Order: sequence, then C-alpha cells, then structure tokens
Amino acid sequence: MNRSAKHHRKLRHGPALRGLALVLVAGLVAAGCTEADPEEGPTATAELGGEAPALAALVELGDLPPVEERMPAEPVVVTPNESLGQYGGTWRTVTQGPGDEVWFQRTIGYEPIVRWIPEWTGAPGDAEVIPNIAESYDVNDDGTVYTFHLREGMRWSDGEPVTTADVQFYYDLISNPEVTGTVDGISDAIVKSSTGELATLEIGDDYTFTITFPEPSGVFLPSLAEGTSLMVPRHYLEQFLPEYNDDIDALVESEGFTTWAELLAAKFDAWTNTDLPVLNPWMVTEPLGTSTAVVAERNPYYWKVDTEGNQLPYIDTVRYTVMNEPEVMLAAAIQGDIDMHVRHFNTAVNKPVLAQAREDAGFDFFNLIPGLANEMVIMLNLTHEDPVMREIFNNIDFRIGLSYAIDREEIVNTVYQRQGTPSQVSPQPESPFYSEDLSTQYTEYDVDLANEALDRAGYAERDAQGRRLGPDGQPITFTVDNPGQPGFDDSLALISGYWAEVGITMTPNTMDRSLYEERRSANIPDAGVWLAGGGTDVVQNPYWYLPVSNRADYAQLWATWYTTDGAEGEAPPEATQQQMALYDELRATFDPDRQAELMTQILEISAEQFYHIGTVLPASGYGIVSNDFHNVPELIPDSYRVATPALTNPEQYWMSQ
Amino acid sequence: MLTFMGRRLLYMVPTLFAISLVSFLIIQLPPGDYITTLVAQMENDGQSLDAATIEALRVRYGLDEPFIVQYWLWISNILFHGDFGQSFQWNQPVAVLLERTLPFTILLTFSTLLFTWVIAFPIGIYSAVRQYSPGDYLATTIGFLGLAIPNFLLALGLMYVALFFFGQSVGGLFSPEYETAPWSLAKMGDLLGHLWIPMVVLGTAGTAGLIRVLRANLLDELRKPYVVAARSRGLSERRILLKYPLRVAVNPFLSTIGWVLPALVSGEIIVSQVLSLPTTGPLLLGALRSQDMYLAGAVIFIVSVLTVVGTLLSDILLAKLDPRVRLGAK
Repeated sequence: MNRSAKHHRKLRHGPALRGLALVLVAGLVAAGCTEADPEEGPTATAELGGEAPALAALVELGDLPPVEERMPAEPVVVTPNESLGQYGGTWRTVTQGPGDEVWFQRTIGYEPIVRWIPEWTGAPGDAEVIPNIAESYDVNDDGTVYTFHLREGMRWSDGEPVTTADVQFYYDLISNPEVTGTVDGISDAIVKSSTGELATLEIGDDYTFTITFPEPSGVFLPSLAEGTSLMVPRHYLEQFLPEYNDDIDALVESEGFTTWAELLAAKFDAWTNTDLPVLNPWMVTEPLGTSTAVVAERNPYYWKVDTEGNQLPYIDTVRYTVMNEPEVMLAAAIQGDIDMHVRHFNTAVNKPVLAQAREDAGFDFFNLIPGLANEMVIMLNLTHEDPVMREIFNNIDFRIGLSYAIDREEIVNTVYQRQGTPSQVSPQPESPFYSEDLSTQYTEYDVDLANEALDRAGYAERDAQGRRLGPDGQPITFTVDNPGQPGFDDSLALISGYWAEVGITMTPNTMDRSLYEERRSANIPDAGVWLAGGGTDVVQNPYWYLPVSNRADYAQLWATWYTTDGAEGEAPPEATQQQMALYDELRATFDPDRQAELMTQILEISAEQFYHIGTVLPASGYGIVSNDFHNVPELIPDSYRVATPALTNPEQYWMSQ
Repeated sequence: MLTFMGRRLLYMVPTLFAISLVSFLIIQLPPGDYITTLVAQMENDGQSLDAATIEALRVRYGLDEPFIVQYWLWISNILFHGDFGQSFQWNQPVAVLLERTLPFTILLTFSTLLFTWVIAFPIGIYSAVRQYSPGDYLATTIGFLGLAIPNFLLALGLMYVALFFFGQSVGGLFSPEYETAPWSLAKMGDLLGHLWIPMVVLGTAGTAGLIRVLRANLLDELRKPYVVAARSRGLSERRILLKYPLRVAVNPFLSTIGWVLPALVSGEIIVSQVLSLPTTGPLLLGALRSQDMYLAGAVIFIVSVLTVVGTLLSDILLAKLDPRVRLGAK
C-alpha cells in the first residue's frame, strides 16, 4: 500500500463535486420546504452574491480589496450541514469571563493546521483528520516526515499574507525557553518526539514546510487536529521580541509590564487583544474585560467558502454576554436570549426546566455524544505510603468485592435523574474501542458475591461490630477525598452505606478543589474520586486505562515512574509495565490499524488489572439551539479534544433574518 | 483642626501597612496557588500540563518564592512604581482591570448611599415624630422586611420581575445594544433602567438600620428640655425639629460614612455576582477563587484605603458638626 498516496489529500471543488453538492443541497432544500413553515424554511439562499453585504459595501467604497483578492486561490470548501445560508445575524451566547476562554476556543477559535471531520468518533491514527490551514499534507511511510502545503494567497485578518515565515517564527518561539510553556498557546509539546527531542523544521518555499521526527510519531497529526496552527502572525508579534525591537524595554514599561515575556503573553491573547491578527471566522472587536460582553465580528479575510463559493461565515457577529452564575445563564436561556450553547448549564438536572421552556422561548435540543468514560470513578490509592493500606488496596479481590457491593442502578435513579448506565470506566458504545466485558465486569449488585470476594481476599474475619479486619488485625477503614463535583456527594453517601453492609468502613472527605489537587499530587489520599475521561477520546486520553499521567490518582507513583523514565516514583507491576511498553509502541506507530490493535491490548490488560471502580457511564448530553438558527447537526461528539461544537464548522451556521 | 487632621493622617500609615500585610497573608493562606487552579481548570477541560511547564509557570509568576519575598515584591512595586502587578487570570495589569470596574463600583455605591438616605431620612423623622402611629408601624415593618431578606434573594426576585414584567435582559448594567455604544443620553437612560435593581437590593438593608437609628436618636432629643423650652417660646414645630434635634440625631449618619464603602463593596459581591455587574465585587470573588493573588490583594487593599479615608472624612464632618468631638481631640 502506498502510504503517501493514501495520505496525500487535497480538497478541490472540481465541477463534478460541486454539481453533486448542489444536487444534494437542492434535495435538502426541497425536503425542508415540504414540511417546514415556508417562512422558516431554508429558502431564498441561492443568490448570496459571494460575500456579506457589509463587506461588499466596504469594497464599493474602496476600503477593502475585492473578495477574490482577500481569499486564497483555493479556499477551503465547507459543505453546509443542511442548507446554504443567508448572511447576517448575531449569535447570542454566554461566557463566565476569564477562566472560560475555552468557550471562545470551542466556538470561534478552532482553526488548526489540520482538523477533525465533524463526525469524529475517536478512531486511531489520522483516519478522521482532514487538511485545514494546510491545503494538503504528505507523510512518509513510517510517519517520521510530514510535509505541509499552505494555501497560496491566504491572509491573516489584517490582510497580511500567511506564509512559512509565520511557521518559522512559531518554531523560533517554541525553541525559546523564556517563551515556551509560559506563554499560553506556545508550547513545544506537540513537536516533541517521545524521547523528548524536538522535531526539525525545514522550510521549502513560501508555502511548503517539512517537519521531521527522529522516530515515527503516531500521535502527531491527531494532536495537531486538537487545535494547533503551527503558526503565529510574525509581522505583528515581532515588535514584542528583543531580537526584533531595540526599544523593547520602553514598550514593556509603557504597557505596564515587567518583562517582555509578560507583554508577549498579553499580546498573544486573541480574547483580550483585538490587534492580534487571527485566522478565525470571527475576530474579537470588544475584548474580554472592557464591558459585560465579548463581541466578535466577521473576519473579512476568512478563507473558507460554501459549496456555491460564497465567503463564510454566514453570521455577522458572535456576542458572548458575561454572566458569572450558571443559574443566571439558565434564566437567560429560558427567556430565549441564547441562540446556541453547549456549556455551563446543559446538565441533567436542568433538562426538565429547559424542556418546559423551549416552546415559549423558541429553541430546541440537539444531542451530544459524551466524552466521559464515567461520571465518577473511585480510585483506591494503589501506591499508598502506608504498607497495610497498600496491601489491602492492591488485592484485586478486595476491589472486586467493593465493586459488587455497589447498587449502581440506584445511583443512576437517584443521583443522575435516571440518565446513564451502570458501568466500569469504559469507552462509550459509540467508540470503536467499546468492549462489553470491560464495561460490565463486576457491575451487578450482589452482596453475596461481594462478601465472597472479600472473604477470598483474606479479610473474612470480623470484629464485634461486623467490620472486616485487615492484615494488621485492625478494622478496614479508609477515607475518599471528594473535590465536590456535582453528584459526587450523593453517590459517595450511598456507596458508603453499601460498603458498610459488607463490613468496610468508608468515609467521604469533602474538600475544596485546590486542596484536593495539592493532596493528590503529594500522594496523600487513601482514595479519590473524579470524572473519568477517555469515553470517546480513548487513544488521546488513555490515562484512565494505564497510569501514564499524574491524572492517574489510582497510582501516582507508577505514573511518576513512567513520566520520569524511572528516575522517580516506583516501578509498577509486570502487567502495567507491559501496558506502558504497548503505549510507547502506540505513540511510535503511524499505522492506524496497528494503533487500534495496541490500544485494544492496553484496554484488555486494564480490564484484567481492574485498577479502579467505576460507577455510571454518562448518558448522551444535549445543547440548545434556537429555532431560527440553522445547520447545527443533530448529534455532536462532545469532547475538549475536538472543540465541541467547533468541529461542526460554526462558520456555516446561519440565522433566518 | 489642622493638627487633628495631621495626626489622623499620620495614624493612617501604619494602619495601611498592617492592612496590606494581613490581606496579602490571608490570600496566601489557602493551600495551592494560582497554578494549582490553572492546572485544575485545564484538566476540567481535558487538557493536561506536564510538570516542567507547571514549574516554569511558577517561576514566571514568582510563586516559587517565600511569602515575605512575594509580599515585598508586591508592596514595593505599589509604593515605588504605582504598579499593582499582573493579574494571572486576566493576563493584564491589575491597574487596567481596576480602572474598568472601580467607576461602576463607585457609581453603584454612591447611588445606593443616596437612595438609602433619601428613603431613610424622611421615614426616620416621620417615625419619631409620629411614634406608634399606623404610618410608623408600616414603615418599621417594611424596614425590617428589607433587613431580613437576604440580598441575593431580593436580587433574584427583582431580576425575575424585571425579566418577566419589563422584558429587560438578564444581568449587567446595560442592554446589549448600549453595551458597547459611546456615552449618550439614551445610554444614560438605559443605565438608570438597570441600576435600580442593585440599588434597591443593596439599599434596603441599610435603610432599615438607619431608620431605626434616626428614630431612636430623635426620640431621645425630642424629649430634652431645650426642645420644650423652644416650643414654649412659640417656635414652629418644623423649625424646632430641623434646627437642633435633627442636627444631633444625624450624627450616626456621618460617623458611619467610613463604613458605608466597605460594607457596600462587600455586600455588593454576591449581588453583583448574581446580577453579572461589571464592578469590583465579581472581580474580587473570581480572584479569590482562582488565587489570583495580586488582583485580590489590590482590590482588598484599595477597599481598605477607601475605608480609612472614609473614616477620616466622617471624623472631619463630625468635628465640624459637633464641637465635643473637636474639643476631645485636644
């Protein structure tokens, strides 16, 4: 098989493709018109005139170059989800302000060099990756050499051309220890090989560059698709670096900063600095912090078109009202003040309230495929400092016994409003990695089986109060650190009761999130609970299945051993080391099929090892969308890694005027 | 009078120093720092930071230094450069953030103060002069209700009223169309249309208290012999009331000016949070939550300075109003 041929993709809107799209769209339009109210139906969209009327007026006045000159020769063609749109409108949404920048990124800030397809499922390799800023890319057979081809004539939002000079500049920044890692958005993590070496960058010409890894990288393209552009606007940022600006000290001083790195960090923030040129469909004009709203207007140099060649985005303005409290956001949603939203208030608890209001407020729901592998995972500390606790927790029969003792159905019914399924930490059924065995093992509620397993574990002896005695002859009691996420308190109260029935005393220890973080990173807790990721992003977020990140609270010291190459922490057991070896191989494997095989093996070992105890697999989530807001898919995968909902191309959303 | 003021100003220096030290210490007390919060926040969203990056961030923000070094960095920059430092969370100088929010806070505080006085003054006088009349009972009942209902609850209630009866947008001080518009008469009107909710919410509790104080003080004064003497000389009731008893009774209004500011700013936090107002309250709350210490420190410090200045102001006013205060100072 010729890999380079397979992976050389070009998006060109040839006449045939265009015709096909037109037929499809026409069909959809016709279908829409027959059932929907003619006022509401996606009609009168054939003559868009190629660009937004406001921009056309500016061109007329001579304030803006014509649309053909503003866009690359080969713009990206986005196929509208249902229908071609109309220009205009304001997308009203909400934000919690600083600390909630992720919502800007997930709506108007997702323009990486390669991106996910809207129907992402979390399949391994680059099967679901398509070119974005890059017009195309080539990869050699073993996944070490990546060549990207940029689009000729593509421009930043201030009209300056996008070239490989911007990539070189990005590379210079990440190679600069004063910048990398401390300026948000500039990190070398993405181009580091698994041995910690930086991949080399080679500039071919203005539009071609090559990145070469010392060894094969199986995760490079998917990591890029998570949101890295590999480029920054050089022409603008140069003035904030000492190499390019002799008067940098004066500038730092006059802007009120102490170091140039601080100044750069502030200037490299697209949400607070309106001068920063961007590649996004909308650019912020009213930044975060000046008033109670953040406003973004269309980027006149945006480089994507619909299937008819009309410049996107369709919507003129995106407006984020700053509301500190999710309850107030809920009130605004009920009032019909939010057009499309998938964050903050879309909880199971609020669903009935929103369902009741949707007719009056004129909105409806769409579904989200949850990215979580579990609502709450109980992680006994397998690397506990206390040898007795460690012995008990590492006894797999002990964990199996505790798992059988949990009535998960009751937790689903009482804590999660009957939404969700009893499950261990497991990929979602939609994921290619779903395994019924992994998901359902030890999940039935059976006190007899639980007692049997705990007896088998060697803790059959009990004291006068019926508490099982540990290896030191003392009753087995431990605490579970609880950082107080929604649902945790109630679930833990129930579980504490179930475990008391089989002679194990567990006390929930509720605390502030900061304290929880401090304790867990110092390996202090007996046990902890957290939301388990890796429901759909299994390969990208694997530390719920093997301890390779400090998020693995079930075995902090093993994770440290792995991340420090054995210098610190403790060596894990044989099976876990085998998992880690498989994971290393996965990271260095480019072939998606082989990656899938390796991940499946890792999951199998994870099922055998049974590191932690899962409770409930979350049911599908939901977002709200106003009735006059179109082209939002019915089903959207929900994960930070795919920037929900931005992977569905918000630039093709449109609003009936 | 000048020596009195001079000495008062001198006292302010160690007071402010102590305040700054204590406020900075309190901010540092909870476990973890801004980086802990940042890491937690990013992990909530599915990202993770490696240990080296976390360390680099700690060094960049100076969080690896001991407390006293951090305090000195902070206070010396304020004293010598007028620089309040950087807000980690906003990635902006603290001074810029305060410039944006302080005017609204001051506007809200003073309009609330005005509202409180305008309501409390006439009602207090009325309640004293017509003690135990139906009007007195009515005013007292309403006053106590205002005192008893928690501010945030009242805010939610009024927001509901504004939302469903006046169709006003939820939260904020402006309607969306005026938010970013330049100042104009229409924008002023829009501001006033929104300002009444926080003003009423914040004012009610204070109003009740002041009514009671004014009523009690006036009742005391009205029975004093000098009032009886004035009345027997045939002075009109209105003149008797306004000339002397009221002047004495008003003392607590002036002596508490210094407390009004911090009380309103702290009471304002929850109300502003609920109503999403662009004031320092939510800024402070957010900073404390995320351990954004320079921002939190600056807000607490400025409010403290305002308190101290306010106390000075009320002392001066009292000294003018009441000779006993002046004499006692000698």
